[in-house]
Amino acid sequence: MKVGRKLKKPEKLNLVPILDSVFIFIFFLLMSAQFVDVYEIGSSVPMLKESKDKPDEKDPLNLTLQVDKDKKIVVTTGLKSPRSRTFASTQYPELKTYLRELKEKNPKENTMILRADPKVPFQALITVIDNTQENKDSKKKLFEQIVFDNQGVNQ
Amino acid sequence: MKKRFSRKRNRESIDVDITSLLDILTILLVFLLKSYNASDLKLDLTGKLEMAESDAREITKYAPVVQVNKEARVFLDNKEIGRLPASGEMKVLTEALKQAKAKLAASNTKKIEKQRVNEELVNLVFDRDMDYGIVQRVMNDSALAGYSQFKFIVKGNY
Repeated sequence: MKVGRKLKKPEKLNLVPILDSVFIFIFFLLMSAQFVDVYEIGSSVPMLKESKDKPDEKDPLNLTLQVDKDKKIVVTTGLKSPRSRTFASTQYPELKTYLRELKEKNPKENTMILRADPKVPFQALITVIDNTQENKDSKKKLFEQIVFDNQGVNQ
Repeated sequence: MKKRFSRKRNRESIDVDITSLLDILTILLVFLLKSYNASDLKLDLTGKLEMAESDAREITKYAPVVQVNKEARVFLDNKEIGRLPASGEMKVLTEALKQAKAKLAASNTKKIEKQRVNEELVNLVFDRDMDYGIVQRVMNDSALAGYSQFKFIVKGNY
């Protein structure tokens, strides 16, 4: 005797709840979407403070980057005996290598003073800043605290 | 004898094929998730302002936003304040920034520690071709209003 099996109809998944939640999620994302990715570059006002600590015997790094009209960059280090090195706007890799060397010699320093000619365009300045920082994927940091020298304000 | 007309009641339900719709939704979802920015700063750029591009990837934070466009017109939180003078301090900007700082301080008193906004911070947006001299003057005016931290808002370049 044959035993007849009942043919089961394939069960259908109920997609209605998941579709509801996906729709809500899409609306939320559409409302909060920013189609231009904006990021920030930080800087701070130079602060003066009185220090009661003994003055360092070691010459402080006092790293200063001066950007001139032709986008040439002059890197000056040292306070007592300043040393300068000039880089053209095409020499960004060399500039970064030099800054890495300075960081290796002065690992505690993380401040960089930026002085620019008033005629330097903002984009050029941002490019200089980008080239003085480590790549975005790198965990190492160079001189990430940027202080703008306000010499020449209102001139 | 009355003849009864019986209507067929057991209509079969119509199955709509939603596979293609689901495909579209999934693509849209992935695209939106990729372009999602967790920043709490909502930036509406004013006219005639092209942002500078940068490799920076630090996420922006909420603070008053000062925008200066190609024509040196200054906007604070999307409200036009005026035009930068040829030289010297822009007192209107300093005053407006002081008011914004006072407002922030007042709203901060009602918030818990974690939700407080940094009162020392100001976001600056400049046109990419703007001279550094103007950038410096706006920074100086912001400093006079009591802000000690500046963030330049830039466009990510890929």
